[in-house]
Amino acid sequence: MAKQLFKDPNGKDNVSIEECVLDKKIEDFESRLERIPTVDENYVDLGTQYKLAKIIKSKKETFDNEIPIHIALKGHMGTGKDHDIEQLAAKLKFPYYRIPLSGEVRDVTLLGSVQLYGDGIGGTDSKWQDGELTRALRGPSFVNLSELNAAGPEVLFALHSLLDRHKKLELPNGEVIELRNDTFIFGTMNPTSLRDYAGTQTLNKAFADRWVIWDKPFPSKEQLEAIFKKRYPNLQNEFVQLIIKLSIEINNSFVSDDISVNIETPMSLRTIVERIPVGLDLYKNSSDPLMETWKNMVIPHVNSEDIDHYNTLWNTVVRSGPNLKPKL
Amino acid sequence: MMKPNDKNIESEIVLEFEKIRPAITRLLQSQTGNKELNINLGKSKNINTNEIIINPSILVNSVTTSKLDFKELIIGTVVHEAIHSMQDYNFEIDKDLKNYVEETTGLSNIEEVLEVLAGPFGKYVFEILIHSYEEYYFVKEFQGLSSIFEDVYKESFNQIKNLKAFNQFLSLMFHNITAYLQVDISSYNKNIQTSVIESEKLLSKFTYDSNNLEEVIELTIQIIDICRVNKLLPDLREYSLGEQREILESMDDNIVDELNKVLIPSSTNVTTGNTLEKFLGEKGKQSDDEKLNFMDDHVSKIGSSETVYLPNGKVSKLVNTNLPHTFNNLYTSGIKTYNNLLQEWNLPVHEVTNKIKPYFIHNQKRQRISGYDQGDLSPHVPLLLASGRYERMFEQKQRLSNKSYAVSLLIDGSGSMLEKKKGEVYPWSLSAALIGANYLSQICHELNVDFEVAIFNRAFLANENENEEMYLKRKMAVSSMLNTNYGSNAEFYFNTTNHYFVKRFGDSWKNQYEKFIGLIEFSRNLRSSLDALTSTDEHPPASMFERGTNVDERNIMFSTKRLLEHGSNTKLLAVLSDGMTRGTLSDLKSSIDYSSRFGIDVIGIGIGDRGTWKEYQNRTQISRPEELIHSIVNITKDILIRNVKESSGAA
Repeated sequence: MAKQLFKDPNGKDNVSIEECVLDKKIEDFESRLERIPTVDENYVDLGTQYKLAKIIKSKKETFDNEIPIHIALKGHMGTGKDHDIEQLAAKLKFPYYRIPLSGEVRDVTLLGSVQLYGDGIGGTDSKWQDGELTRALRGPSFVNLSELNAAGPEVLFALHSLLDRHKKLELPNGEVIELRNDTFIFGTMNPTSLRDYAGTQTLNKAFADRWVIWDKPFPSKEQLEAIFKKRYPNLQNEFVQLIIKLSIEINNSFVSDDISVNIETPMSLRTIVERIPVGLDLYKNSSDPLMETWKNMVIPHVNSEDIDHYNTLWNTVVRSGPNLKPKL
Repeated sequence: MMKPNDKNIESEIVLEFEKIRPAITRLLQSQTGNKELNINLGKSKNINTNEIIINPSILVNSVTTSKLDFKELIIGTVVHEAIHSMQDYNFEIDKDLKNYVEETTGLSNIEEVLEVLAGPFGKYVFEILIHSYEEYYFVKEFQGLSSIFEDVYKESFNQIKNLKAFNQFLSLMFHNITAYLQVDISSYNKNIQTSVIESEKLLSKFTYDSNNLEEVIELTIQIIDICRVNKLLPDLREYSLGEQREILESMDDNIVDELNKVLIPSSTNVTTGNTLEKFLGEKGKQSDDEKLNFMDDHVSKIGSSETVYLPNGKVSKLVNTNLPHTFNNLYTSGIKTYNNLLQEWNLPVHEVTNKIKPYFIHNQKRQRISGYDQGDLSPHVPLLLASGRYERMFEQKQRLSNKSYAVSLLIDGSGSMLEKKKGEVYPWSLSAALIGANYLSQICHELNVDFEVAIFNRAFLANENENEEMYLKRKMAVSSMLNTNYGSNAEFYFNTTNHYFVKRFGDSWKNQYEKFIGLIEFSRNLRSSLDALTSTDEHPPASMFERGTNVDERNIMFSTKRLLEHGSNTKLLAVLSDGMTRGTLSDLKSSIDYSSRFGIDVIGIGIGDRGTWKEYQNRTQISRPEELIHSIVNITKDILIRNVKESSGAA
């Protein structure tokens, strides 16, 4: 079986894990095959993926899958939590199930229910229909329960026994599904603070106890430099440094606990490494492509009460962008 | 005075400040690693280290003197003020100085350390170094901020060439460190160029560390040496103690004034006169309250002072007070000097007094005075009864009294009156004017004529009860606080038009005579007269004349008003000065004409050959002190004779 190597971006260690090989004989082979994400060539591991890989290895090899350990990544929007888990699945060729636990999700949606079908001869027949989570757990998979802290209580209680030592999910039809050793459950959540994440709440203590929660902060300067270097190797440093400085300063304001100085709109990774480069390409013939990008690709996404803050930081950090044609 | 639209600017600034405050606060919080840091607008000093108080006047000053974008200027100025307000240096001589233990034993603060190690100007080099490095290390992280500062400094850069050589050097050193602008020094004077190049060599090897102030002090000592060798600084050893002090004081004022024009003013450093404030710690902070009180007293004194209306409608403020009585302390030596001067200039006071007395006596006018308690019943009683003018029923001729005269003597107290002419050992302008005034006063005194004597100038006001030390302390405090609180309007408040009475009409001449003679002593021997006193507490505030100018017309109008209010028939105003007014000649002329129109004889007694005094209808001019009495006698006699003729002609 092929192995994948995960290097520690902040050190010299590495860890190798076997890839998942789907058995073609399994009933939902096609469906699972389709769910294996494609590897994003531009993905840069800032350390989270390496840590997740290490814990998978530890769980499998050191503790022989005896200890139920599940990792939840906690971070603000745009920090790339889901992307980390998805790319881990992609690299290890696992089918990936992202199940958002928004307030609307009921236990029946997750677990499944008995549904009525026409029997073709004028009558009806009742059949068990797996829910999303049940479907994922029936084979090798990476399950990402996103928005953990938005989930309703009935959903949480349904998940309790799956996540603890029982490792079992009891379905309403009486069937009990055991958590397979080649199924890994992850979670993501936004920090519950004064930030405006509609529908989130403090995580239920019993539920929280079933997870190891790791913070996923906004990327640092060096991490952003690494991302830019990989994704836009030709982009002039004059642009890169200013974009990074701006995003660092703005996200510092976003994460500040001091309500008199913080803002509601962060600069997400999507804005930094996708929208801004697109803008630079769009306005590449302008005398100040960065300023045009800022005005047209960044500012329209900013809450109106944060505009002064954004503009002040723009003036302090950039004021006028480089008079260069960006190379993308 | 404060510009009329400054209030609006201030409210706009407050609005803009509130918009940028959160972002700038957060930026400063993360740069300093202090999450508690907060910035606010206000005029009082920060009470805790986490609070940075931005004085709105600094912002007003900034936006009113620059043409750059309003918002960007506010950002730049707020960050600039914050950068330089954030750090208070905890400097301890015992712990922080390792190489200068011997020289600095017993010294109590960094100011004294710099004075001892680098001389009186070391503190300026030291502070410019700190100021430049603080700014450089903060701003280099932010391209936008750097470009705002670049534009701000570019605006004032051309002014550097108009500064004094040492200030040019300090400004160039600032630019050398901060590197906002590419500076071409080839157009500067050779000695400045050499100093900059030599200092650059030192700076290129230097790494700034705010925790290692000893290295900054060492660098300061080396740079001061460069300045001395290249003659950017005077070699004080060549001067007497008194002269040294004068040089130091004028350079101190000058450095603050000039650097304020070419650097962004900050309320915590040399640009607003608060040199080394960040290093003097608690002591410095405590003294701020005192400084603030000095400023408030000064400003309220101006507010409650006399308003002078010039005939053309111009309005100005004039502060009248008494000549500080500490000049009394110079009486003993003054009386000797006075007698020596009479001898030296051959001025026979008593003889000439006798020559002029008769003219005063003859010039007395008699009028009829009336009232119920005056004299006999008038022969015109029926007529007066019919017309209802009952008080005229009793009347008599006014008794002959010298109180029908009022004489006002105004003596120019500008700095130039104390300057030595080329080739002279002693200055003589003020001494001559005072002796001339003394001569006239003496006549008035002997004849029992009402008179008043005043010194006038436009400079920082001296209080009646203070000595030199107190005056200088107050002057520096008010200067720094005005710069901090009023920004570009500070100059409107600092110097005032002053009218120092030596004697008012009602005062006894005898009681005021000692301080008048004391002033003669100072006018002749300058600082040496003070040095002869046993204690510095006794020193009169001699600096009150320093760099003083005069706006003659304001003081003439003030004296005119007082003369007109005086119940005398014949009024005489003599102005003894050495030259031109700082106001306008047309205003001067219209003021003199105004006084003359109301029956006041205005005499211009010119001392020296700088002015023409043609605005004075009655004028005389002396180019040597020996001519003094003769000229004064003649002109006074002429006026009195003319008055006698006019009154007898009318009769």
